[in-house]
Amino acid sequence: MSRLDKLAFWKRPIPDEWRSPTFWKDTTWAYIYVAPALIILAIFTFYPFFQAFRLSLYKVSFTNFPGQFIGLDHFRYIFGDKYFWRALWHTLVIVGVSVPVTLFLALLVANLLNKPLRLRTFARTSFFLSYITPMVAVIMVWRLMYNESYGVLNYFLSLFGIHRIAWLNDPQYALPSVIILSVWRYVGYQAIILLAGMQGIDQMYYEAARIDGASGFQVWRKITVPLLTPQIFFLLIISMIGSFKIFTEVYVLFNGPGPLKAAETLVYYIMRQGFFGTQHLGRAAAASIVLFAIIFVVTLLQMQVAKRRVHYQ
Amino acid sequence: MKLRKTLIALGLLAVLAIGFAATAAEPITIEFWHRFSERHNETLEQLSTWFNWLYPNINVEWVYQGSYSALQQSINGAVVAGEVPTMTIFYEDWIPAVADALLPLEPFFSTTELADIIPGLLYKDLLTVPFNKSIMVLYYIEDYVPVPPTTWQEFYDLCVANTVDEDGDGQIDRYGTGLRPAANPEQFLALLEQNNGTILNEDWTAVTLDNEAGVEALEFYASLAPYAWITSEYLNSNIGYVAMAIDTSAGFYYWDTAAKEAGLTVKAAPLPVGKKAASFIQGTNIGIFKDAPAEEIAAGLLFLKFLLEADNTAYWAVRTGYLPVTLSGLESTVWTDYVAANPEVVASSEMMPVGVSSLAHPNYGDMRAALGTMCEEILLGAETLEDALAIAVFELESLLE
Repeated sequence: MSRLDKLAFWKRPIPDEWRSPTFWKDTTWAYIYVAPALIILAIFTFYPFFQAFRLSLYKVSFTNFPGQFIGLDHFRYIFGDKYFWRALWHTLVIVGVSVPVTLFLALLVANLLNKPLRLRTFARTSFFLSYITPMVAVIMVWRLMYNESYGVLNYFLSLFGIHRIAWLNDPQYALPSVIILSVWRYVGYQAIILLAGMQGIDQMYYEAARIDGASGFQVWRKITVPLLTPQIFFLLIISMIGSFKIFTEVYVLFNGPGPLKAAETLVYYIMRQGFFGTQHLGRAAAASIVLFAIIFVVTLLQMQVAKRRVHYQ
Repeated sequence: MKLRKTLIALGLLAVLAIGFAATAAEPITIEFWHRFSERHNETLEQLSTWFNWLYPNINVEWVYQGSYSALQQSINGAVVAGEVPTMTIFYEDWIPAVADALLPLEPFFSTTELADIIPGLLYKDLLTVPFNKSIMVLYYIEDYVPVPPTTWQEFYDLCVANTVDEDGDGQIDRYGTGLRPAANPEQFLALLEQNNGTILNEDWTAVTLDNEAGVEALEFYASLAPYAWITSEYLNSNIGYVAMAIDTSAGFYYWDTAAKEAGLTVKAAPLPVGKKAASFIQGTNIGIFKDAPAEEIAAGLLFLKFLLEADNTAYWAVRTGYLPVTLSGLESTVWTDYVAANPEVVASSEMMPVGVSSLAHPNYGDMRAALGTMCEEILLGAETLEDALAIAVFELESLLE
């Protein structure tokens, strides 16, 4: 059977198991069990997903639905809007900086937590706390820490003779403020995932390396990291997707998109278009389609890289 | 045409009154959607209790809808679904989207009643009446500013004098004022109004922001930049960091609390006067949905008028920190006694008759955002005043429908 024939499913012979009534009975029950979840997914995920495509081609509002078909006008608007491109740039900066930095720090922390330290359990719990604490509460505290006059960050900087920084009011520090917060929040979570991966590595590799006289760094680079690639790949995917969708940190930290919209991300731009002020649902939908396309392409690229680089034991 | 409308409305009221009498025993429930916090619930309940004493067969059901944006979405969804409450509160720029669903109120108000509502709070096509309103006033820290400014020049001079580097480390320790251009462009809009400027012309067909009055107001606003803490944070969050600030009268509680904790004294004064005394009023209005059942509409109209009675609007203001929305409310004993005992509300009370509200334009949300961006770009030096104004005018013109 040629490759094309394999794709043409209607040409394939009927599998033998399909002829068994037990198969259909089991299959039907399987679909019944997943039906409630599928129905909820259909209503709250699949329907809005496809509706967004539709909304991006219509001029709609809450009181003007289904609205008028206007083709690609919304896409023309957002591609001609300088704030869209700024938001995209800000998002790419956040992704490009916070993802590798978080992962690198998480690797270091996981390595540390894997050692036989005293109070190791306490240390592991402490690092994970940043992730499990409610996001808004965490960000409110960081707002106080970033305070220009009374914040603890500027206090520590003053101990080194550095003048206080207007973290939340100076456009050039707006994105770094978001990145620092984001890295702090997710290092612990990623470290725990990597730690679990480290503890799953077979000790025979380390014993063999010791016998061969490998140094600690060589062991880490040639054994630990390669065998952690499944976890690293998983974290890269989810942290990249999460970073592309950053919103709450910006909204709560700045009570807006930041000074001169210096911290406006794509999702904030989408929210601003669709729900703040005059509600342009079509434009918001168009921008969300673009964001979806970007994340989709990036994830596909990551999958391609993973095929060559991820080592499974 | 107007006489016909009035006659129809009077006829409707008469029929409904007869219907009331006939069905007096049947209770009617008014569903009132709002977003007031728990702090105001007690006052709302008290008002509805008093109303119930007058009309024992009418109950008011207060339905909390969450934040303002959640309330707006609920309203829009209710109109689309045809499942509207009796009445609800609106910001002015929410109204155009649901205007067709609202009951025109003018036929139900006498000339005297309409004249009693503070003029700056009335709109053509009276679809709503004002309810909870606050006004921009000047908060000043008395420890730094013993006498508040009364003119723009005095305000500017005090801003300069109060922008100080107390410890000589090259960083400013206190600013003369605080400006929140993106979050609160109403600070600029108050100055614009004082200079006889407007954003749009009367019939909303042209942008007038870049005329002489608008440019003058913008130049004064921009001149404050070196002496202002420019931020998106609440100005009372760093009490003592600014000597004075234009802010909403509804925020006095937070200003006072923060000042007391810092050992400072904050007071409120009328805004310094430009070419005329004026200020910017913010807050919501009440509207009644015309698709609600007839008896609920009639009950809602009675409740609306009850809320606008002098003592009741004054009571609501006294208990919440908002302001009375009628002239008789400002003159009522309830309010005047409160003002005498609470000098911090003198300023807002005096300013209310000369306050103006935001435009009820359907794209006002985007217009406000464009104005905020313009103010921010000027204050932070991202654009020159001319360029920022030109960009804003271009955006405003694109929003005219």
